[in-house]
Amino acid sequence: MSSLLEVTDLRTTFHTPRGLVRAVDGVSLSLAAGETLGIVGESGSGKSVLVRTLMGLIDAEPNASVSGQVGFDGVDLRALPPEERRRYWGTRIAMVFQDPTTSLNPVKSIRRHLVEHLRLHLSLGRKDAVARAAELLGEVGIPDPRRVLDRYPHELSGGQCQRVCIALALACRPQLLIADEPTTALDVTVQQQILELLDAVTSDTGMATLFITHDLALVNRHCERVVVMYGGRVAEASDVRTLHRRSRHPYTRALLRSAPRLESAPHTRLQAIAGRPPDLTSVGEACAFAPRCAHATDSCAAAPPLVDVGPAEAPHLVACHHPVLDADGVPA
Amino acid sequence: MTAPLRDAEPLLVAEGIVVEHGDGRRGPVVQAVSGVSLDLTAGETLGIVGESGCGKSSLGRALLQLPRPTAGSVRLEGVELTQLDRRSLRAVRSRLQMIFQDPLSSLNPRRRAHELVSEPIAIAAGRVRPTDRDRVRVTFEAVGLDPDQVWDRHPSELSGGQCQRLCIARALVAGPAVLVCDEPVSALDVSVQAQILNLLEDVKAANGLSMLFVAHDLAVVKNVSDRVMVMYLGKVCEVAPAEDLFRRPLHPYTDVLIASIPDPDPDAPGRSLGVRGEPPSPVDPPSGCRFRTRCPRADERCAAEVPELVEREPDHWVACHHPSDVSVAVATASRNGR
Repeated sequence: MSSLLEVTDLRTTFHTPRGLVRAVDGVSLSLAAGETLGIVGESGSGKSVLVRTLMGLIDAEPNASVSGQVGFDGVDLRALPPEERRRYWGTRIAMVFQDPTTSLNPVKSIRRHLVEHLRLHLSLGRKDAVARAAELLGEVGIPDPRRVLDRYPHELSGGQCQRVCIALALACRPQLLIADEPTTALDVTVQQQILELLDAVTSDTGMATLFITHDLALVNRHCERVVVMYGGRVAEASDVRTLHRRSRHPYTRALLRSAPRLESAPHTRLQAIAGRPPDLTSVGEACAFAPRCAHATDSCAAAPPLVDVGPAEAPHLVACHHPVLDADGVPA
Repeated sequence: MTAPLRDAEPLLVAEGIVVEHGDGRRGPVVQAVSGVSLDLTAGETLGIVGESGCGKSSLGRALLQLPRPTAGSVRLEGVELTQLDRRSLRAVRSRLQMIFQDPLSSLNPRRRAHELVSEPIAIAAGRVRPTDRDRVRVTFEAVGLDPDQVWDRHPSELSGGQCQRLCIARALVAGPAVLVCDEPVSALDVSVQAQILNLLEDVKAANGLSMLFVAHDLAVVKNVSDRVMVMYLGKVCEVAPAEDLFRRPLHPYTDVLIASIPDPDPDAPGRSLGVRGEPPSPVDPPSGCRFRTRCPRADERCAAEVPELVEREPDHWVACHHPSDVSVAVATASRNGR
C-alpha cells in the first residue's frame, strides 16, 4: 500500500538561551490513505511540535531550524515554496485543534467562518456556500443548523464549537485530517460523542487521520496504529493491539501500568514512573528515558536504534537497548 | 435535604450549601451549587465527580469560604465557619487547606521554594523563626523534594510535578485536618499523575488527614476515595462508598459517566453512552430533576418533581425517581465489564 503521508527523518531544533532543544529528533512515520494513526506522548515528547512542523508552522519561527522530508501524496511539502504549500492547507490537509473556543474567531459568526472558508477554497457562490454550510453543520450532528449559523462562538458550548471546527475541517473533504488533542478540553460525555463523530466522518469519507493525544486508551479505541513518542523521538510504534498486549519499550509499559484503573479497588497503590519528563536541552544522544528506566545500563548513553521486532506483516518498531521480552514481561 | 450522616462523629459537616455567582445587575445570577450537604469523618476521603459546570469546584471552595456560600452552614471541628469574622477565619484556615489544579499559577512566581513553604507559618505565627527552617526542610522531604536542590528555586525552574509537590508542602506545613484538592492531577502528565496520587495517599496516612477530592476523572477519584459523590448541575445525584458506586450505580447519570470512560483494551466491546448532547446551562436549569433532559428514563414526574436524596441501600444515597433496580444495576455493571 502506498502511503499518503511519508515523513522521513524530521528534525526540529530550537535555539534557546539555555542551549539547543531537539524538540523533534529524527522522526519518520507513514500513513496510508484512510488509515488512522495515533501519536501518543506527554508534554515535551515533541508530538505537538511534530504536527506544527508537518503543517509548516515552524518555518516562520526565527530561532528554529527544520530538516527532513514531509511527503504528501508524492510531493515533498517542505521543498515547495510557501504559497504553493498553502494550497494544501484547509483543502487537502485539515486540522482540528485542542481548544475549540479559541480556534474560532470570537467576532465572526459561525456563518461567516464557514462561508468564507467555502468561498475561498471551493469558489462557491454566496447562496450555495450558505446552503453547504448548513449541510455541513447537519453532518457533524448540530441540531437546527440554520439557527446555529447565526450564532457566535461564545454562544455555543465547547462541544458544539468543536463540532463547528470539525465541520470547517471537513468542508473541502481533505485527504488527511490532523486532530491535535481534539477532546482534551471537553467533558467526558462530550468527548465520546466527538470521537464517535470523528470515527464516522473519517470512515464515510475515507480520510486518513493523524490523532495526537496524551491518552493511550483513546488511541486504542479509535486508531489502527500508534506511535509512542518520548523526548522528541519515536519510542515504539505498532498496531494498537500489539502495543496494548505486547509492548516492548519500558516507557510504554510503565505508562500503561501507571494509570489508575477503574476495575482496581480504591486505594490501590499506583505504579508511578519515577523522575520527571526529560529536559530536552540535556538529553544529547542518550536514550531520553534512561534516567527514569529500571532497565537502564551504561549502553543507554548511546542513541538506541529503532528496530523492527515484529513479524513481516505487522511492523513493531522499538527504540530500546533493553526491550522487554514479550512473553511474560521479564526484562531481556 | 438530609446529609448522609453516619455513626462516627464527622470532622467537617456542610449543610444546604448554596453558591450563587453574579449579583443580578449585569447578567443573570447563576446558581452553581443548589443545596448540597456533605460530611467528612476523620481520615476519610470523599471524592466529588461531575462534568464542568456541575458545581464541584464551587462547592469545594465554598467549604473554605472562598468565597462564603450564599446560604448554608459549614462546621469544621464544631466551629461554624460561615459566621466567623476575617481574623478568626484566618486562624481556622490552617486546619482547612486547599490544593489547586494548576500548580504553576497557584504559586507566586517571584518567590523561592522555601519562602513559599514558610509563608503559611508566617501567616499563622506572624513571623518565621530560624527554628522553623527545620520544619520547612522536613516538609520538603515529606513531599519528596530534595531541600538542598530546590530550596532557592523559583516555581518557573521546577517541573509541573515538583510545583504540585510544593503546593502540597504549603498545605501540610499549616497543620491541616482537612485537605480540599481541586483537580490536583489533571494539569499533570500521565506519568507524573501517579506519583502525586501516591504522595497524597502517603501524606494523608502520615498526618491523619481527611480529604475532599474534586475531579472529573472517575478512575482517579475511585483510586483515592472512600466515598464518592456524583454531582450534576449543582445538585447531588448519588453518594455511596467508592466500590459500591462503581459496581452498582443507581443513578442513570452515574451510569453514563462510567460508560464514557474509554476502555484501554482495543478489543473490548464499545460501550454505548445512552445520552446525547451536553449539560444544559446552569443559568436556566431544567425543572424537576436536572438530568431529565438527557436521561433515557425521564417521564412526566421527573419534570414536575425534584427527586429527594434518599438512602436506597445502607450508605448508598440516590436522588432519582427511577433509580436502577439493584438486580438491573448488577447486570449493567457486568455488561460494561466492570
